[in-house]
Amino acid sequence: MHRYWNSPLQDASLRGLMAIVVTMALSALTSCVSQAEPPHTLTPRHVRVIWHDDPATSAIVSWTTTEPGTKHLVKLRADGQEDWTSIESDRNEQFQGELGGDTVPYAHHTTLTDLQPATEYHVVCQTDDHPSREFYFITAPNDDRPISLLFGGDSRSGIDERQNVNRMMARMVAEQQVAERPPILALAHGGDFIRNGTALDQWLAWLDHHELTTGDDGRLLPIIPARGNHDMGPIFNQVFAFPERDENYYAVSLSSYVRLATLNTETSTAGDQRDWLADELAAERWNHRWYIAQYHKPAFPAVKIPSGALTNWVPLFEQYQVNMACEADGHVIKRTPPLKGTKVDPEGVVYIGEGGLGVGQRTPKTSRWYLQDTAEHCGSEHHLHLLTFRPERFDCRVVTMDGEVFDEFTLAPRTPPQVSARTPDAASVTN
Amino acid sequence: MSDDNKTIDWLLRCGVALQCAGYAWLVGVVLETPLLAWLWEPADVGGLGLGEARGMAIVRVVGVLLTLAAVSTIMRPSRVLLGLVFLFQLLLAYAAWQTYDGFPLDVAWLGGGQLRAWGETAVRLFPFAAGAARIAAPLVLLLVHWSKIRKLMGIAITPTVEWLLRVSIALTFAAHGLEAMQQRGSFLDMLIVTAHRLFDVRLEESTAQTMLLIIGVIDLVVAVLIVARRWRPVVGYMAAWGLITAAARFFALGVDRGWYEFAIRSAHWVLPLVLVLAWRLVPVPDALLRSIGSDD
Repeated sequence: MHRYWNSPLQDASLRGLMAIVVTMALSALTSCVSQAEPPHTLTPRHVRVIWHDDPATSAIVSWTTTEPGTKHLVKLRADGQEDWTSIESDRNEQFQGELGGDTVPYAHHTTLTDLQPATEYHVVCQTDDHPSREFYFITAPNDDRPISLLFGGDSRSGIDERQNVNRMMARMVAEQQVAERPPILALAHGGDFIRNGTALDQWLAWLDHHELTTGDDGRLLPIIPARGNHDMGPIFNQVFAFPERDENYYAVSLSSYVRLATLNTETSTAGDQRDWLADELAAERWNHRWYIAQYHKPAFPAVKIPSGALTNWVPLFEQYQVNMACEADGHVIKRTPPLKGTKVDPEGVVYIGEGGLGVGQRTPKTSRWYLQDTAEHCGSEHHLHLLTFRPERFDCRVVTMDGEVFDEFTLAPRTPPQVSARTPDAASVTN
Repeated sequence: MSDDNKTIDWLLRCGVALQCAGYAWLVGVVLETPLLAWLWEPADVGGLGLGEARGMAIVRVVGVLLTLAAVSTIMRPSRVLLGLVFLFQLLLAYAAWQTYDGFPLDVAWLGGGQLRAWGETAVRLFPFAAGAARIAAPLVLLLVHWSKIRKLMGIAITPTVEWLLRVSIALTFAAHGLEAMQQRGSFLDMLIVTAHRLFDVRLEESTAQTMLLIIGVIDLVVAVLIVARRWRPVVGYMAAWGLITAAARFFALGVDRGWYEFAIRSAHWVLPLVLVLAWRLVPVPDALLRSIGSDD
């Protein structure tokens, strides 16, 4: 294993110097905090960016306030511009649920449209006269530049680990930038955010902890959420700005050549969702070199029982040669070989996962036929997946909480069916 | 002993044995049940925090005991093993409660405030209602097989047993009815996939939703009727529907997974069938039961 992210504190003298600086900074911070006023009930918190639609040109900026307030807006400016544009929120509502007699807070969502691709946007959320600090996020590109995406799931328990993984995400985003690697655009979360989806206090704790994914410089990590079996109830749609009765399946293009479908294993997998997936793949699959899917309950589980995804979605994944399916729920590290028609096949789909953003890890059942060839790539550590897309290849790395690369492999692109009839070209996996 | 009472005894024995065999496989081989989750998950998420290895060792032992119970129930029923099966079923429901397993009923229709808070607490107890027939089945067999009344007079179903049957079946049907009315995704999938595999018909989700709503309403109605009055067509319908929905697992999930999903639901059709048979017999006056010393 090698380290994924580099620590600049490898030199002993540097470490000593840093220790002094950190101690002084902490003591200064402590004295400030002890004198500071508690934040006003209208001061925006939990500021986050959510991607449902076209992340090159749109985004949803959401935040929470303790009191309802009267006017909610996002101030927005593209990097390099001086003037701020104010956009009023399009949805403000009190969270559903109880807090044991405490005031139930309010969710605010502002949809930003007509954004420029691959552009840094600075945002300030404001309720009445109370602004947040300044944040920024970067829209997805619409060209073929290399990009990265984080995938992980199951943050429902292991609160310390959840916070540590979130801090690691912020470090990884910054590290990619410093090292001039393909930028991490977003976090695709495979579901099971919290233990009980109807418990508002758990969602508020998750939102508090999600703030740790924000960089010191205010960079927000957009989130592309999938619903897990523990995320039951209406609060999920409030937290992630879905319409009230939304079924939470959708697809986003992360660049001109990468598309991600988010599916929902907690509703019917055989009905409208399957029809939607069939239409989506027919329309979009071969417009994108890389097509991946994420959802919660696995089709090829490393621990548990297959979900409806196996019966209802896998035939479509295979028909359209989806490159990879990202799964969660099992609480292990998993990678299958390419699978097609219940056997290992170079033209098949690779399934990865299964959730390590905090929840206690289990032991993968590598005796299952689809894990026997990749048993050494399965494990039991808290982790997340770093997916890096380039026109010519797609790299997948499993990064554990101490920054080690547990597993990495590369996929080669597939050729659309009409071309492959003339030039057979199988996808290959390179370790 | 009348033929019907022999049939009731054997029906219960076969049903409980099948249920034990299904759970023995699910718990001891497949391993993935709320029981395992409850054993290994840490205490802050509702578990006992025993760790995965210890949890698996325990559930494997449970699987062996359930296998023994399955065999013994057919060969020579054992009070101890049947008692353990009853406790296992209770524990499984408790584990599902603790680990938030199962379908999350929506209580938003209760509005806000305390009523909704109570509703949210109550729906977490749902595994006990949904599993009521499975919990009751070994208990019913315990009460029937060693019944003095049955041995002396060939009367299998005493008033206590009858009410245990009626209430447990009612709870199971009502719970599944509510899940159906709230459009449980796996139920929709079962309708769509079964229709496709059996009849080569592609059922639209909206059609499946309407069917599920009707099924849910019927489940609730028969759940009320079975408690309200002795009506053999109602329990006959419940037996048939319990069998159909259990057997649908074969079509929706395939034989390798469908067999144990079918087996663990034996009580859903066996218990109503017991009532179909019991209510065919001439009811025995309570005074006569008292005069010979009821088991109750």
